[in-house]
Amino acid sequence: MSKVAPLSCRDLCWQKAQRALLSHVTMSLGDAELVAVIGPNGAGKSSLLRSLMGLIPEAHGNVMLSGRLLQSMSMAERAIEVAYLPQQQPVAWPLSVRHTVELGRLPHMGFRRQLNTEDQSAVEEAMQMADVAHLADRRIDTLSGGELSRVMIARLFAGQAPIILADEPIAALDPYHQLHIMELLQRHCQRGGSAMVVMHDLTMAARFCQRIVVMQKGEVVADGRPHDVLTDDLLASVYGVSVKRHHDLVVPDKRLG
Amino acid sequence: MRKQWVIAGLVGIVLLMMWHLSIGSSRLDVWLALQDLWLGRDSVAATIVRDIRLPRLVLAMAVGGVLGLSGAAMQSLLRNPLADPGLVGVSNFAALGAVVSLYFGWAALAWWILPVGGMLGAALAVVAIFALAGLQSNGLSLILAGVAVNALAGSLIALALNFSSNPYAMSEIVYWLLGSFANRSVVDVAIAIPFMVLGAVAIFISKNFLDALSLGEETAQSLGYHLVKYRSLIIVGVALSVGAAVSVSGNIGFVGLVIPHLVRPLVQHRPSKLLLASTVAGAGFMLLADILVQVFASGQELKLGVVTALVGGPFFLGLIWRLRRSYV
Repeated sequence: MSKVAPLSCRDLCWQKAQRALLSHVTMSLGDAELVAVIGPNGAGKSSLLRSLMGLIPEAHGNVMLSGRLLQSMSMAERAIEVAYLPQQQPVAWPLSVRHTVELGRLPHMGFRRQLNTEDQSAVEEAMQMADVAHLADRRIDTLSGGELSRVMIARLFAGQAPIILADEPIAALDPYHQLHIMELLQRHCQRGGSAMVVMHDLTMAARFCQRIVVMQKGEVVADGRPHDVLTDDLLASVYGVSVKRHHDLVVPDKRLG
Repeated sequence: MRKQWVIAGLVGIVLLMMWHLSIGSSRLDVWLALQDLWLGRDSVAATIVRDIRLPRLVLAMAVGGVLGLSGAAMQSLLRNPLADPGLVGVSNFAALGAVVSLYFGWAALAWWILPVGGMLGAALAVVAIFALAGLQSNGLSLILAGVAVNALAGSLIALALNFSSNPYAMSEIVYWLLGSFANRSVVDVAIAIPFMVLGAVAIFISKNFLDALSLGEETAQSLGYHLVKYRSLIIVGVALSVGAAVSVSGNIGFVGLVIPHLVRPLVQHRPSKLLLASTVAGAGFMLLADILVQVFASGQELKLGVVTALVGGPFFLGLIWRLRRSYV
């Protein structure tokens, strides 16, 4: 893994149509840290990820990447440091799995036309990691939703960026592959990388992540170790649900009036 | 792309080029004429090939090439298989520029006025699209702006036809619009080619960006591409090359729409590889169309735009019939 580059933001605000989608968000992502971002639908989790990637030019506030102001960096410089996986988006053309994963190497290619050996081995490794190597020559329009998600994760890993921002990467996966992808993210962080992952599964978040950031109505309402954050009170006020617990299982139980 | 397709394509193009050169009102030995040209021998055949047939050949290939290229670029840029160079209104506006110069009789004043009018029209279309859609816009507003600009140009052309002073002026405009490479000279080649090359370079620079765009606009940005910069580069590139093409040949439809579909399976649907393949296929297709135009000319000249639509239309229908499962 190359040099570690932590990511942080201060006082991030974004208003759209009179509505605050992000208000005064301050947080950071440290070295070798796997952070879950949770919160109800519309809480601003995706907006946070997008603005950390610099995809929302209208957002105010500072984002620092590797000690540099994000706005002062070109798109190409950012892409080397951060890999971003949006929520499932359709691929425009029926590319092969291999060609789709190869797109993850674009930040390293510039105007180069062909993949070099380094690119090729990164692509192979990423396909192995995400368990899609056996699908390499399949067209992506023939894949199941879960297979497609794993192809996109392989694309994410192929870029070998130290920082990963992933928006619901395990939402479409079966339990086996949910665990598999979370383990991959964990291993990425154990090797010195960092990852920030939007997710809805509280148990998965608590099990795999060192830190959980809870968002509600565009604000960060809690940020800390899973055990400290996922209290009954907080879950009741943020999600409006009560939970059942068993060891490290946190399972939504009832909606609260 | 598989090697045999590349070889077959190149051999096909060379054969079409020889066939194209051998057609004309005077019968001559093309091979001999080319030898004369090469060795600098001054013969009638060499003069005919140099001054009449070669410019027509070069123009047909260049126009077909940039139409295929621009169609591929637009489809990849808008992530829409129905996009074509005409969609952003550039070709209609270029046609409008040329029509205006015909309408007011300026085109008769000097040889360069008609093509320059066409290019000014294309430039105007680009300005109008960016003004309407804005720089930060997404692909959809770009399409909408293009449709609006297109409709405006169409209605202004209709206005010119409506008020043309006599039937002769009207038919001049209509015939010009239908497209032709007849009676083009080295001068037309010299005017149009630099702009086409410039436009093509702008598009080819963006090829990796077009690949990235398969994953959506935000992912393309996260992969290191400045969306506004590259999108503007491609639109300007399409405008330059299509504007120049329309200015010297008229409004030739269907090539930009059909050709990318034809070659897309050969390049495994990859947008970056589609560019060169569509350029070559477009050049070949236009050669074939221009050959058909001349072979079937009986008295009345058959116009190129008619042939491309006649060949392209049913072909496109067949393609949709065969591929319809891929798009649903």
